[in-house]
Amino acid sequence: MDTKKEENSLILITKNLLIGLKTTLTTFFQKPVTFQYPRERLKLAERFRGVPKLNINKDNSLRCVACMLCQTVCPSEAIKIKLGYVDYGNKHELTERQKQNKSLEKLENNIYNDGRRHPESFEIDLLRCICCGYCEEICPEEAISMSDKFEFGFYTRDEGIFGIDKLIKL
Amino acid sequence: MIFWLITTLIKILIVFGVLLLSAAYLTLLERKVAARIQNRLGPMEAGFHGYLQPIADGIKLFFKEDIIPADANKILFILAPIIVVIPVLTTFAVIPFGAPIKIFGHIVPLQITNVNIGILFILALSSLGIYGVVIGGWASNSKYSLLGAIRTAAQMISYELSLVLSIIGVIMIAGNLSLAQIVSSQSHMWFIVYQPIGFLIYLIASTAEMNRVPFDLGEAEGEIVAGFHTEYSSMKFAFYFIGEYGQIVINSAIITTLFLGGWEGPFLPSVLWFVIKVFLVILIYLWFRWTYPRLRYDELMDLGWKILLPLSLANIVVTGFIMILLGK
Repeated sequence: MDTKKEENSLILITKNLLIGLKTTLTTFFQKPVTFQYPRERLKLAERFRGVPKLNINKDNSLRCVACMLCQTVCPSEAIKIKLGYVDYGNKHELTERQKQNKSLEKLENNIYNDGRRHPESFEIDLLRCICCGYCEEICPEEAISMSDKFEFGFYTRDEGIFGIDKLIKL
Repeated sequence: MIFWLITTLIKILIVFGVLLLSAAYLTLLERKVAARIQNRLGPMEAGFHGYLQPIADGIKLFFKEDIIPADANKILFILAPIIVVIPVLTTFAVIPFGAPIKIFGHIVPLQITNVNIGILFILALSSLGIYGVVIGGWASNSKYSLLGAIRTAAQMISYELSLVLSIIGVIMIAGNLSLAQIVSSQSHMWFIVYQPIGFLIYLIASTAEMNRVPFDLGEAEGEIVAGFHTEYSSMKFAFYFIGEYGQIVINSAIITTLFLGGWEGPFLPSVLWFVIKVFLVILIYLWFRWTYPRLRYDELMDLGWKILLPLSLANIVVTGFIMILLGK
């Protein structure tokens, strides 16, 4: 086919020009797809992965038992856990079995514990976190899960490291 | 005499104010139309749905630094934007924007001055605007500006011809050069019915003459930065913009007057009819802009010399023949 002849056909050009006008006219009457971001928000999917948050029990105690699995699995090394033991206080009476627990002898003095561990500090560096969800997947206690928060702003890098208090509120 | 002076002054002030305001708000309209065509919202932040955006833009441009390039020709550099704006503001003087009204027993025509060669006046002034572009491009001492100015000059010469020739059909039918007479001779039938090809040619040629997309080779931002106003900033740049958008209003008003029956129309007041028609023609210009991509330079020249010019000449001949056959 002689393409050049077809290109130069005035009727074809005019037809195509009119098709162009029709296209823009139809889009003119369509609904805009823009949403005004800070005021309007996209509906997040149920499985949306924001940054991780810490879960708590009904009595406001942490579910985390400081097993260190999330710290180990974290690919970007964003999680840092400092191990600690739950202190029941000296009024608390240990059961016979708990008294037999030899591992408790390694503990510092004045800590009354049944061997139950908890994180003394739990830090997630949000500037390192890639929201991959590995920590949520590996956690045996369902203590860490992904929140739906994804917008953060910091003035310094240190502000990006969230401790237990902030992570619970996420 | 005093009454005439006062009414004329008031008319001038109203036309001047409305023209400048509409030129400013055309920028917003253009952005909104562009946004709707691209399924966006356009400016939304300044005021309700961005209705204060032109004012914000004006204030911003006013406080911008006014830069004159080191090797620029200072006098011409400052003169150029002024030359662009003044013809645009002057052109509206001869356009009738409403039926004559009666105030205190005097008949006041809603037209600043009824020149009996109104069309020639408009054509003369609209071709003056090119000097602003060429002088500005040359005085900037920048290769982009110069290239843009040369392109614009060549383009304007090619399209001014078919622009003028497309109007001749209208003049032949009306038998008059005065715009008021042309409008009153359209009271039974608009001239777009008699001159559809003339209307189309005028629409295309005026788009090219105003340097608008798809004929914006003079300021082709993908090729030569911003063309003739590359080096301009602050209010000088704003002047070029006012000139550009004022010209859209002017050309729409001319099309309305020549082809769409001016202020003639039933029921509504005549000024309102004029405004509605002008607005619709402006929308057509915006529609063109956001539909078509820019032409290549040789395509532009082809369209001007090989299609529009013969077509407008043929239009004149055919109009003449038909008029003789009908014995008018």
